[in-house]
Amino acid sequence: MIPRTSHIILVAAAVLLTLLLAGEAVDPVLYAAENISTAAHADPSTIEKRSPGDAASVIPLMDELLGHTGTLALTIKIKDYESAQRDLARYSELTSQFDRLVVTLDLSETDIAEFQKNNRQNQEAMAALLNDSQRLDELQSLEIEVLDGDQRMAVVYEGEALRQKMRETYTAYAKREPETTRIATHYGANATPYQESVEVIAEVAGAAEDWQADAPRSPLNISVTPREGRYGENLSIGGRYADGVPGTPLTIYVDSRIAGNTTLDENAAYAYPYRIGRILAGPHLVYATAGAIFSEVATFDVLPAETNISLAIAEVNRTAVACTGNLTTEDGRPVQEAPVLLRLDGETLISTQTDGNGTYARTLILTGGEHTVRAEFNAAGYPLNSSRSGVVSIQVRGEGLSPFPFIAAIAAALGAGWYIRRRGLPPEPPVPEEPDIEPPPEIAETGPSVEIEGLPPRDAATILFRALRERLGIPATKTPRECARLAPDHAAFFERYERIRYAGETPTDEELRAMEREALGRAD
Amino acid sequence: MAGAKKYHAAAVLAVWLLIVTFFMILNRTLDLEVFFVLSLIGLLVVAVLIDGAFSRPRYMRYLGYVIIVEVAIFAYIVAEKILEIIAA
Repeated sequence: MIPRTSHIILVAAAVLLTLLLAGEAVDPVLYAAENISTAAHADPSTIEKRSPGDAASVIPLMDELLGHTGTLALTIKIKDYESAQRDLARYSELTSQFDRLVVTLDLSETDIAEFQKNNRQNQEAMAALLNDSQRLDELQSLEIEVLDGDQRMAVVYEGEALRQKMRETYTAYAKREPETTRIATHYGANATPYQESVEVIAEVAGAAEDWQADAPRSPLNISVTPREGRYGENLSIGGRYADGVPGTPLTIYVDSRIAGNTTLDENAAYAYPYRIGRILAGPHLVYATAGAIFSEVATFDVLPAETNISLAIAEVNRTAVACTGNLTTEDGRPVQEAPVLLRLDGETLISTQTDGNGTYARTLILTGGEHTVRAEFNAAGYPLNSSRSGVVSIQVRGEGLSPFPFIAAIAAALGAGWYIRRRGLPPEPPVPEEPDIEPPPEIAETGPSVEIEGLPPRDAATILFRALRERLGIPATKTPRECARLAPDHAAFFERYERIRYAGETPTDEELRAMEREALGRAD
Repeated sequence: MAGAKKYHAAAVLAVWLLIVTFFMILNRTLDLEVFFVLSLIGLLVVAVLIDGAFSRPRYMRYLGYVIIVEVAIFAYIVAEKILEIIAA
């Protein structure tokens, strides 16, 4: 009955297991998109079907967003910053609402998503423009109050930086206009306020250009030639110091950080070669100081450049491979001291660095088997674009079969065998039947004499038991019960002794005398 | 009654393996080594529970041989893992 139950359980288990595996093989998705139980399993592709009502609000919202850009640009232009802040808050709220709608309706693959991205950038641009305009106004009033040279230069410098930033903001904003207008028109939204906002922002940025026109000119002038360059190229920062004496030391600052020092030559001119290194792409500000005298602020642009990274792998020994390669710009200039990442098997990242020649080298210790390696340059902080090498596969031989696991396995097997064997042994070997031991023949002569006078009765009984056991030739390891079995003629003696020994009974003098007689084999 | 013990043990072991398999599939981590180690743990627990104090049936002796082999494989896996960690 029980074996049958076990068989049924086993068969049921086997069938269930097979079904589980079969189900997994046919359809590996455990959670169907339509049948979700928790929010964590929500599949955006099914949401649209469940909330079709939201789709109708996309176009009106687009219309509203485009309308807000026009209003906001106008309030910034007329310097009504309080209203602009309110408009911006409302615009940000609508942008967030639109973002949520795009996610909810799963429109991330459509041009609505492109509109959303542009709108998000427009909102950031508007926020930046509002802040910059406000700050620029503050600087203009500050400049009138501040007469001290150093502070005045700081104000001028910050104003120049803001002007640059506003110009950039406008350029980026205008660049997005055609695409955004196209999408808006495609969906029937009114893009006119948005197009007008571009013109208004152009006016705001243009107004910023004029603010420094009436500033007094510094005796130390500065210029950068050429005005733009790429990574690794040299720019010449130079100028004249009208009142300077030859040999006057000058400090050159790029983006407020010291780039280097130079001195005035005999013509009161100076030149400093500036190599474009680890600096972000985009516009940068440069000025020079000679003691307390600040130059005007000059600008130069750093243009982004493409990079190429190569990777070659060579085997060093059974487990090590050497990865080497070069990181260069598109025109072949080495990228120096740049971080390079080696992606091992698509997951592990190992970092290394290029040297002065744009070469990197790194030895990897790998386990046996096939591995893939790819070199990556992430270009953070460089005026360069990221690049990746091709994936290189390498077969690592590995250290061969180590005897250690086999030794461990054998040792474990021996250990387990010994333990199981030891554990399986009974605490005492079974008592072998000793049929050959015949009860010894009655010995006629008197046995060994024993002295039990004066001893406690129970001790005396023990001495008599030992004497009889010795007389009968029974091994000292036998218990009274075994002795009784081996010598049935004296069974009564042994059973009585067993009770005295283990049951705690005390023999009487009469019994002791009878036992003594039996132990010593006396007939009387 | 004593004879039924081995059938109970086999059924319990099968259920244990089923539970292990179920959770491995649920977690999408079908790993033979992990499965083996968990099955060995189940076998050892079952062997300790069905082992009698005063008698040693023949199936316990056979179970002992199985345990010896599995412990040897387990030791091999552990040694390999140690070598992997040392090499990494």
